[in-house]
Amino acid sequence: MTLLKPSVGKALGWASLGALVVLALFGLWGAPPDRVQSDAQRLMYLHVPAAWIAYLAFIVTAVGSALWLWKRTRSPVWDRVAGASAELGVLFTGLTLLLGSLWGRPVWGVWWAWDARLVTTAVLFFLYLGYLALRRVPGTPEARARRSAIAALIAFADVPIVHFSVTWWRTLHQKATVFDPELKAHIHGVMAFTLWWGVLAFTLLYVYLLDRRYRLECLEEGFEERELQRAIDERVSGAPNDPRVEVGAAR
Amino acid sequence: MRFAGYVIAGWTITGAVFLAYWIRLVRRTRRAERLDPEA
Amino acid sequence: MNLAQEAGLVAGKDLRIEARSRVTVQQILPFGLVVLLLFAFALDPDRGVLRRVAPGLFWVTVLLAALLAVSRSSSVEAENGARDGLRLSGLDPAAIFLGKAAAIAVELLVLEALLAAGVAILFDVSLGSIGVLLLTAVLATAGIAATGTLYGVLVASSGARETLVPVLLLPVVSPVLLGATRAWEAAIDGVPSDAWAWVGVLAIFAVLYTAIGTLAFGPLLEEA
Repeated sequence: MTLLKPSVGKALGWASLGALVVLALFGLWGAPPDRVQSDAQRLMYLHVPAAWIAYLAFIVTAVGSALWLWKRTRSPVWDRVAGASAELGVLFTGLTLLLGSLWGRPVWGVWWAWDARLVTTAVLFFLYLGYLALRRVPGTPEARARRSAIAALIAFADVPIVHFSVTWWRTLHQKATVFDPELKAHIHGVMAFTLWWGVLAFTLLYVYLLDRRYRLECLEEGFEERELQRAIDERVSGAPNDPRVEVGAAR
Repeated sequence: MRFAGYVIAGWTITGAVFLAYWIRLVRRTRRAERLDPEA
Repeated sequence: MNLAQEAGLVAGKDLRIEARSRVTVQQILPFGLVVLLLFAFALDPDRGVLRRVAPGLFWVTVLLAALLAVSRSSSVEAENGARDGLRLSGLDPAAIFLGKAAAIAVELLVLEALLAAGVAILFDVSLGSIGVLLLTAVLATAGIAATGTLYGVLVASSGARETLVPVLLLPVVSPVLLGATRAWEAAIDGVPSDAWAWVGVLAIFAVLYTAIGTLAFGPLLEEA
């Protein structure tokens, strides 16, 4: 019913909260402002980890889908993990876009830029939003798992193609800029630490939320099936030639 | 802090999103547990 | 019967239905032409704006038309339990996929030829480097048809509403829009040799999604 032991899950929840608080301390106060971007840099400590975790989440969805499709490892666990992770992926992707926009405005002067990474992230967002919509279509768990798994792999296969073609497209049109979103060359010391801590904190949060979302999926799936079974049983017990009814009447 | 508005907005929205999602999970879980006491 | 023959059978069936009902020519083509008209209303027909963006507008229109073509293709089996008939026919699901995708591709290519004429006339575009344009169109269409057929059956067999197909299909084929537009821009207005990189992307996409469709169609068809 859960991916982690309840005690581990709880501890992870507290750990993520703690890590996020520490991240805030460093991100908002401990790390110095950037030479070029000034304090706008502080949004990068959220934007970059969010993007990385989004990718992680979608990789997990792809792996879960593949494991479900492969008969030898097929299990409802993988389908649920895939679905739960995709939802988190969309959450983190949305966050990445929002933070990218808030970061871009002071740094580039615009709310949106057709930068390769942002565009790829936008496509990613819609790819998996569609996946989530597909998951909501009612059906037997097996049928739903099969079509979701295939849809997830279709989407995942697209990601490198989108990334490559968009990067190529924007590189051709790029004017001379200092728009390197990560500015890796300029990051060192406390800033680098804060960035990596951000990745750690978000990873902890992701795993914790994944576990909780998985549990919810189990509960709701089980509920659906029991409801369905109940409806079937009611139908059956109302049938005219049901032997149980006749036995009852004979008594 | 320069660009304080954007920075604070970004951080608070992030926190709010995480919190809201977590609350949503907790509530849905509690509802599912209530409607269907597990075997 | 081998795979190619079975696919040909299925493609022939879909195309014959199309020839009889003429949906592509009578409904989808006019739709495409109207969209081109609307673009002219929305943008500025003077000052060469339309000519510059013509490749992009063309391929967007093709994508929108493809949504209709895909919807049509999957609805053909929706009536009278025809999908079950297809499943029980003993035809290789891969052949069914290839046949249906081929039929969509043919319909789209006809559409594209006519829409290209429309673009040349309405937006004052001279279509040079026909070879590059054609190759691009064939590869882009193959990719769109394969992905469209795949999503078409995925949505139709799940019983979900048709309106789910666009939101699934369009993000996935966005690289095709990108590549086809850039290739056509290079062929028409720029340096035609620039188009080759994009043609490569389109080829990879077409091959990849044809492969995925061939493998995934069987399991998808199994569903009630």
